[in-house]
Amino acid sequence: MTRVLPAPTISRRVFLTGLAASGSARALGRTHYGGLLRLKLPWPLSAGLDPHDADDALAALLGAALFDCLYARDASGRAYPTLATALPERSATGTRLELRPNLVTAAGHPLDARDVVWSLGRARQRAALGLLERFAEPRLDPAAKLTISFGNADPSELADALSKPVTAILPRHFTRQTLDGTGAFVALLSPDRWLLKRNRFAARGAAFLDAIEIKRAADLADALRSFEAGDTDVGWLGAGYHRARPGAVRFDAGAFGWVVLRTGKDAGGWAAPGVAQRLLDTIAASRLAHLGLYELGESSGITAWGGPPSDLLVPDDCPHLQEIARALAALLTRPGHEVRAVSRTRSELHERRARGAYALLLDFVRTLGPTDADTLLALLTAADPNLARRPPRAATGNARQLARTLPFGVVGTLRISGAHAPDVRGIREWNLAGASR
Amino acid sequence: MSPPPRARCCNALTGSRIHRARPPQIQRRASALLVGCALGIASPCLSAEPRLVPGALPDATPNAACAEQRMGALRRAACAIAADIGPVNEGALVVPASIERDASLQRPIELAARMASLIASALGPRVRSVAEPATLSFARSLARSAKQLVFVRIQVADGALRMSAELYPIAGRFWDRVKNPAPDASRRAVASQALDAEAKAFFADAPSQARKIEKIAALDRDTVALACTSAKLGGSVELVLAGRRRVTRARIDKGALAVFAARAWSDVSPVAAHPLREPIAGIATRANDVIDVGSSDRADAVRFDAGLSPLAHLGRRIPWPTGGCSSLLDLSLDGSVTPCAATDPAGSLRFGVEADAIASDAVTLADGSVRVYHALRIANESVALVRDDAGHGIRVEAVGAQLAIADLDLDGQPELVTTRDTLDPAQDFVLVRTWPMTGALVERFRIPVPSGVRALAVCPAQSAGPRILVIATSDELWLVR
Repeated sequence: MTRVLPAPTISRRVFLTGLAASGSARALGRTHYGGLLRLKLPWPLSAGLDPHDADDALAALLGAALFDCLYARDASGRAYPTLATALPERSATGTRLELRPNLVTAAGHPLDARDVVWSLGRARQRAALGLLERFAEPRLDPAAKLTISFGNADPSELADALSKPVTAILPRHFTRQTLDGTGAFVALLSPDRWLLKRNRFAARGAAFLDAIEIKRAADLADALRSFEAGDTDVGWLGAGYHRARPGAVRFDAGAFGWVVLRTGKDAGGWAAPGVAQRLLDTIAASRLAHLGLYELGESSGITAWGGPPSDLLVPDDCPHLQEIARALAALLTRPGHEVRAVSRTRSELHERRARGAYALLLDFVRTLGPTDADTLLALLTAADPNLARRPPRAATGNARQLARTLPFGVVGTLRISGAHAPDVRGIREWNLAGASR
Repeated sequence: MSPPPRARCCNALTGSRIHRARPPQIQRRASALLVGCALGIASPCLSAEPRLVPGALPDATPNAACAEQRMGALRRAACAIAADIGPVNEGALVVPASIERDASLQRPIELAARMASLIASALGPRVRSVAEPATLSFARSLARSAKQLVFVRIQVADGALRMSAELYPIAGRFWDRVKNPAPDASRRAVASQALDAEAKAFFADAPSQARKIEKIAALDRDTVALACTSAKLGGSVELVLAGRRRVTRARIDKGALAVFAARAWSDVSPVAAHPLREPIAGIATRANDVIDVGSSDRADAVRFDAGLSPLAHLGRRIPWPTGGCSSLLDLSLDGSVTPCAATDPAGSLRFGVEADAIASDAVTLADGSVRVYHALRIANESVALVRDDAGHGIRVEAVGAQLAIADLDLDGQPELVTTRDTLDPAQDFVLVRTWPMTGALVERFRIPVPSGVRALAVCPAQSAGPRILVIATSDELWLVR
C-alpha cells in the first residue's frame, strides 16, 4: 500500500530570502541570531560532500547551506539572481550573465568568473550533464572580468538550469573535504561529526544559527532514539523511537532523492533494462515503508530473484542504505537464488559501477528539481550519461515508470521528513540558512 | 492753537511705543489720526494700503544654513527671513502685519510680536521691532526715524507658518517724502516652517480626536525604510521610500501614491558582498533637499539630490535622521553616530552597544529650545535605548524591529513609536508612547497591523493638529492622523 504523502508546503529549494525575490509578509520582530541545532543523519560523514555528484545524499541534504548557485527560484517558480547580478541577457555577442562583485568564500578567497566557468565545467561532467548539455560551454569575457557568456542560450532556460543545486558554484580549490563556499555556513569536518558554523562572508546573508552539529547515526533507530531522548533537535524520519517526543513538530520538506537497485553484468539476463523495476514492483509497500521510503510500488505478483546467487553491494559507510539492503536481500532471496547484502567501500563501488562489475548494487540518486523533466534528467544521468545528453520526451514524471526503461529500478523515494523541537524555526522547508531558535 | 493735523499725526507717532506691548486701541487712535492726516497735504499717512490676500504667501525653499541649526520653527523662520533679506541699516525697524490666521490661533498678537522680535534679533543687535501688528502705512510712519522698514506678513494655515518680509527704504527728508511717499520694497524674503511645540504654544489645545487611518495601496511590496520630506508644507504628504529594488519619492494625492522620482538600486550601488538575511535600512532627509539612503542589502549608502540622482557614495552605513551615520558590522549596526561623509560636520555619539534599528529627531520644546533624541534597538535583543542630548535616557523592553521617535502632538515631549517583537504578522501592532520629562513612558495608543509593519515615518502636520504617523505594511501605507 502506498503511503499517502502530505502535500509539501514549499519546496525546500525555494528560498524566500533571495535579494531580488518578493518578500514574505514579515512581522516586526527580528529573527534571533544564535543557537545550536543538533541532528543525527544515517548518512556517511567521512567522505565529505560534492554538490556536483548525482549520488551524494549529503550534498542533497546540506549542499544548499554551504554553496550557492547563480540563481534560485521563488515560490512561483521564477528564477531570480543570487550570485549573479541579474537574469541572463541576450546581446550581440551571445547570452551573458555577470557575477556579483567582491564575493568571497567562507575562508576569504575571492570568487570570480573563473570559478564560475570551472564549476559549471565540472558540474557538466557530473550530475548537471543533462541540464547543461544543451548550452554552449561557458566562456570568460576578456573585456569584463565578471561576465560569462553562454553562446546563444535561451536566457530563461539558462537561468532555470543554473538554479538547480547540482550547478552550485564552487571555488577552484574545492575538494570534498574542503567545503569552502559562499553559503550561509562553513563546514568543519571530522569523520563522525560535522560542525556547520555561521559564515560571516555568506553571499546571501549569514545564517541565523551559530552552528549546526551533525553526527552520524548508527542506524535509523539511533537517530530516532536520540531525538526522543532530547540529544538532538531534529528527529530523522520520525518523532521518536518508542514514542513521540512531547512537543515535537512534524515536518516534510519534500523529496531529496531515490534509492535505486542497479543490476550489473554479473546478473546475466536479469540485468536487462526494466527487469529490476518489475522485480521491485512486486514488493508490497508495507515491507519497506518502515525504512523511510515513499512512493513504493503496488505489489503485483511474487517477489523472487531469479538470477544467480548474488551479492547486493552497498556502501559500507551508509547506515540507511545498509538497512534497506538487508531488507531487500531478505525479500528477494530464495533457495538457489540467494541474495546477500554485502558492504563495500565507496571507492570500490564506484569502480565496479563504472565497469558494471556487479550483480546487484544499491545506490542513491539525488533529485534535480520538482518537475517531471527534472525527474527524467536525474534518472537518465544516473543510468547512462549518453541518455542524458539527448533525453527523450517522456509522458510521465513518475520515477518508477521511467525506470522500467532503465538499467536500474527505483526502490523508493527519500524525503526530508521527521520532527523537530518546538523552539526550532525554519526546518519545515529545510532552509537551514534561515533556521533559528 | 493746535498744530496742523499732519504734524499732530506724525509727532504723535514718531519714536513712541517701540518694544512695548500695546492694547489694540492705540492702533484705532492712530487710524483716527490717519483719517485726520488725509485732510492735509500728501504724507505717508495717505499711502495706498496693500490688500492682504488670503493664501497669497508662497511656500519657501528651506534655508539650508538655518535648517541645519538646532532651533525651533519660529527662530528658524526668523533666521531664514534675515538671511534672505540681507543686511539692513542699524536701527531698522521690524513691524508685523496682522496675522492671517488659523481658527485655533489663540494669541495672534503675541505671535506677531514674537516673530518681529526674533527677526529683529536675527538682523542685528541694533535692529528694533514693534510689539503689535500694524498696517503698512502705519508701519512706514513708525519707521520714519529708522530709515528702513522690514514689514512682515505672517500666515498660519494647514499646519504651517508662512511669512514674507519686505524691506522698504524710508525717506528721511520732507521733500523726499513728497516726491515718493510710498517707495516700493527693495528686497523681499519668504520663509515657511511646519508648526512645532514652540509655535503651538500660541494655539489653543486641540480637542482630543478619534484617530483616522487612511490606507493607501503601496506600489512596491518590499519597503524597508520610509521618511517624509518637508517640501510642501501644509500640502500633500511627500515620502521617500526605500525598497529592496529601488528608492522612490512619492506624493500622496487623492488617496493614491504618485511616484515623481525613482532610482533602481542596481543603478547606484551593487548588492553587498555579504548582506544580512533581514535587511536594516534607513533614510535621512537633509537640508538642501539632499536625501541619504542606506541599506544592508547594498554595498554603499547613497546621497541623492531631490531628483534621486546620486551625489555621493557613503560606504556601508545607515543614516540617522538628525545627522550622522552608523556603520554596518557583520550582523548589526555600530551604535556610534559618526559623519556620513568626510565633508559632513564632525560630531559623534556613542551608545556603546550594537544596534539593529535606529531613529532620531530634533524636538522643539515650548520655550523654543531644541532637544535631540536618539533611539536604537540593541542588536539581537528586544530592548531599545532612548537618549536625549541633555543626558537623560531610558531603556524600553519588548520592542520590535521598527522604531521612530518624534513629537507627534507638538507638545514638546517626544513620542516613541515601536512595534511588537513577534515573528507572527497577525500579532503585530504599532505602539505610541510619550516620554515625558518626568521619566516613565506613557502609552498614548496602539494600532493592530495584522499584515506586519515594514517601516515607520512621521510627517509634518497638515493642519494645526498632530503630525502624521506613516506605517508601511507589506502592501499598504497607513496614514494615521
